Amino acid sequence: MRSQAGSASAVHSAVMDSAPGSAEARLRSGCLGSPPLPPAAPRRRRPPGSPGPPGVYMAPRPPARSAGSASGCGLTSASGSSALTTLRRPLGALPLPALALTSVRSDGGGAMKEALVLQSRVAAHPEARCWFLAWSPGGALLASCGGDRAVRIWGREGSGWVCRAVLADGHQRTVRRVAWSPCGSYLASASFDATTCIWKRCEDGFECVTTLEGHENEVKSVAWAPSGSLLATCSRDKSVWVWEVDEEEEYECVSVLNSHTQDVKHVVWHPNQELLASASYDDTVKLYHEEEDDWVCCATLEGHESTVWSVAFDSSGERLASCSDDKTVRIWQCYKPGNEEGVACSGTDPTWKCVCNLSGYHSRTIYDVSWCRLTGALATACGDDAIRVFEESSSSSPQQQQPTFSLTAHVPRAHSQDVNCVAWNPKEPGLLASCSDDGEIAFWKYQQPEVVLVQHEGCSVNQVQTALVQQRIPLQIVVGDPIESGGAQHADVQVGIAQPVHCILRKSSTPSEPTNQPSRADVSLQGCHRSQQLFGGTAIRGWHAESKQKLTFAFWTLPSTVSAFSMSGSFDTIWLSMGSCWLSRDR
Amino acid sequence: MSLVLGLLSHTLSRVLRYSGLRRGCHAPRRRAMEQDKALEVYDIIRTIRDPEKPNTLEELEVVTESCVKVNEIGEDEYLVVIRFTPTVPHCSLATLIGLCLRIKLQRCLPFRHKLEIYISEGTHSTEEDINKQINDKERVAAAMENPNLRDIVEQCVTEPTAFVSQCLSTPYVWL
Repeated sequence: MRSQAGSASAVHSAVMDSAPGSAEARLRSGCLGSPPLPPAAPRRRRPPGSPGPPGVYMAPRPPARSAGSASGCGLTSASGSSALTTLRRPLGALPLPALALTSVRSDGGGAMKEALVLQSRVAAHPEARCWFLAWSPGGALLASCGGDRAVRIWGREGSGWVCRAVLADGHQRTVRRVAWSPCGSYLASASFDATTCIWKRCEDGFECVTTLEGHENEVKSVAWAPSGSLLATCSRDKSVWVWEVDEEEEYECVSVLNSHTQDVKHVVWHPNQELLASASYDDTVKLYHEEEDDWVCCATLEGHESTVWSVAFDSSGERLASCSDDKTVRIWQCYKPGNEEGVACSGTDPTWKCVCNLSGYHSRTIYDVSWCRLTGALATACGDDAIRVFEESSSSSPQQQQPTFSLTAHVPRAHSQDVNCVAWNPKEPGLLASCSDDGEIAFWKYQQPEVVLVQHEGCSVNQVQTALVQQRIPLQIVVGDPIESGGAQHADVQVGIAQPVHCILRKSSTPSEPTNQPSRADVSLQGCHRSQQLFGGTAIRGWHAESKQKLTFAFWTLPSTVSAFSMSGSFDTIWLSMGSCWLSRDR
Repeated sequence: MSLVLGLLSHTLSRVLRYSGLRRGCHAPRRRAMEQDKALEVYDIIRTIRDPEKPNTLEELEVVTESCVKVNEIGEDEYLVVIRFTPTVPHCSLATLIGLCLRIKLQRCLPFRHKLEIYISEGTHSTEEDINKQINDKERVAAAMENPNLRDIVEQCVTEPTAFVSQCLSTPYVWL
């Protein structure tokens, strides 16, 4: 299981065990406009072998409401980044009726499967493995390489993909990896025959312009630096070579780095800087940069318990994801000298620390990890034939910078054999390509997760609860302890929503409720507008569904949160779970 | 109210019993399947010849029937774990045997499987290193492209009898 949120799961189980059945009863009685639910199905729906996030409680989905989309509580997804907000509610001002919300979700596996949908499959490398995929920088072409010693270029035609070129005769053995130059005119291919071929794009295809030799055994990886003038290769001979290329297409080896003690599996460049990361069979990740005309190893990331197969930087380059044979994915964060978190750095070199460890999700070796530059989603290719996608939900304690990632998509049988590579398209958000030992390439469309449903049982503000809502979005609801501040008490609630939504809050009435507020009703919130960062609140207007009486829900944000959630556009219905409902005066 | 509760508990106990029965039904059948598969695996690996000596692995007791464990991990998919005992504490030969086992099974095993090969504990000084190597599919693939190594493995793995055709017809990926 994940190392994070241990206490949350304990709380969750407490919530789960209390008062079974009463939630369903409440749903049946108060549900807005929908007929009574079918009898309670098993409460915990999660596909076997995939540990879900803590704090989730699922009840059967009520039939679709008219206000909602066709999928009942589905959402139309607009582009929105997953954001976490801390919301405060002045306790003194308003009553706090306990909320009981229904969670509406069909079945854990089904929802997660729908998030990643197969578009097409291509038998790319006949009778051989497909080892790697690389999208061209423009996103229109996909290069694949495999055990048949050839590199194939795929382009879109209509709704499918066709092979535009076959680059054969470049290598005598398996081609392990391909990499496009940042300009898109060159393609480098690394092979088990210890050479790296550089192919240049010309009118009717590709031609091999240079072959880089020098490694003693199989070249395992090749990567181009973002500037386009540097190339890195690594090999089973434990070395990483850095090559420089000039305008006349002359390649020269400028450095041989022998920092690793074993086979180096993968090299990857930082998206903006000339910083190189390498993953190795010796269970470490090493980072290199140029210092006074010489390349040196500036950091070693230890923590994995077995071979590190692949690394990926996020779009900013502040974070690094590494996947390993120990079935975990680790996220490392860069701390520069003089950082505010007080992490010690030596000299001018930044320090990298592991901030998140995703374990318990994969049942076999993870061969590849890919971090989407556009959406921030993390995809993994695993030896159990499955593809998984994770999204980040911001932490509940901003000071610690401990992100949590939740599983938002899982396709258990993406291929008939091990998945070797996953690659996000650099221009089209949500387009994912994957390849496998069975020689096939599959194209997937990823929908950022939508609905979020959780149910709480009569929780009071004094309880700290984390509900990681999950149907499709990582929505995290944390109800905090009341904090004394200037005489009034506030409850910190963090809500992270990826998509604009209707919020349906059900609440049960309490005696102290003011009479001008609707009681015992479902209130739907609509027309949320973009919230401000830092101070200020966002008024989310809503109305009581039956009487159409307007209500405003105010959300306040704490200055230290990462970003506020933005909601705009049209919405569908979701069910939001909160430990307490807030009703406030109109702002 | 009490009537409802009574009915509920009755139904509940019925349901539990039924599900318990069903589960009970599945377990021995699955066990039998797994044992069948284990025997299938053993049948394939026992005829592999040792790289040094002219005997098969079975004759040298490098592999035994009990060293193969099969578990069902999904629909029609099995996890095969083999623990073999190398004849000599020589690193390269143990790796070679591991390689032969992997190649033979990859070619000849007809059902969907994931394969893990280990040296049985305590039989080798560098067993962790060897285990890591023989379970690293990239290393295995690269090794098989080395012509010398490939020839040795082919000699060990190919049966001298007419059963060769059986192996060739499998759809599995040739390294």
